[in-house]
Amino acid sequence: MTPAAPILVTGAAGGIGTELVRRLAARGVPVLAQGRSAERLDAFADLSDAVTCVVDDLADASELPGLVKRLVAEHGPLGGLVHLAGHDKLAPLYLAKPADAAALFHIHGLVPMTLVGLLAKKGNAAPGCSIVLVSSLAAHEGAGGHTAYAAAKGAIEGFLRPAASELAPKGIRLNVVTPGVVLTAMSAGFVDRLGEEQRAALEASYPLGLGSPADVAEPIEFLLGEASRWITGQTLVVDGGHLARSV
Amino acid sequence: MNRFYALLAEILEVDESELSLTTDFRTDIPDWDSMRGFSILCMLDDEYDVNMGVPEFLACETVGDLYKAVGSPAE
Repeated sequence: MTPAAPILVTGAAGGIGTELVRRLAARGVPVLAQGRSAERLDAFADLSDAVTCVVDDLADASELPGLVKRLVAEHGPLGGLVHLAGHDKLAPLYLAKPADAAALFHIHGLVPMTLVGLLAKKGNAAPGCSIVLVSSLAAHEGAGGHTAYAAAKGAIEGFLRPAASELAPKGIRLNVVTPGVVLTAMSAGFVDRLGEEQRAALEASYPLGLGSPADVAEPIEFLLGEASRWITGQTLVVDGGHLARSV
Repeated sequence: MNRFYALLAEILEVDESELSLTTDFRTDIPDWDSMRGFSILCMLDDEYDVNMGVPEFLACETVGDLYKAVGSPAE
């Protein structure tokens, strides 16, 4: 990762995004912090030397080329991309709505795939550029109610190796981090609606406890940096031992 | 009221005509499970901007209790 090349972090105002942006800024890494509104990015007002706020709702994938072109023109080729933007929409299969699934596939699949494709274009990525996409453990286990969300996350896991193979000759790395349940505002929509017994069962299924934003931000930071220079096309599961729990 | 019944009926997988304000949505309706409960909480939030906590939801027994919680909308 070239120190002067900016890292684009989408979903910067979320729990993991905020933690990651602060970590990068603390090391003097320039960050382009994307959020849906200026208000959501107010949290970075004290970091204006290192963090540039990018207000964009990412709603139209056809506008992403223009966004990346503008960012590169203003800040130079990108040293990295972390895609954290997105939401969850819980619904059992019998209540699933096509519009909800489409929205999930858009933000968790189409948008990151498009952004990665744009970084593959000559001139958009700085030497040593590293891209980290974020999947979910929901795509690896029986996460009832999360079928569309899990499918969307699964899409980028399928995208990972073919894309990494194309990016490697360009000197660009691509990896995926797959977290378990991390306590953020997004997961609160699920966790806070569990009954007492359900909550206890969830916590018991994580031998190392439920995750904090730092538990995911730190591995992402590792994958962005020089210490992971020999790692690409990989999925790093960070799940507090959930998949390795005794059953 | 019609819209509220329609949304609830979809979650409970019953006809709207089977619901009234006195219907106990957990015991009067077949196949109650926690996923239906979760879906009701999501619906209250998404459609009525009511973020009901679990203890409050557990205290609701009837369709009327839920209807009151969302402000008894006329529509």
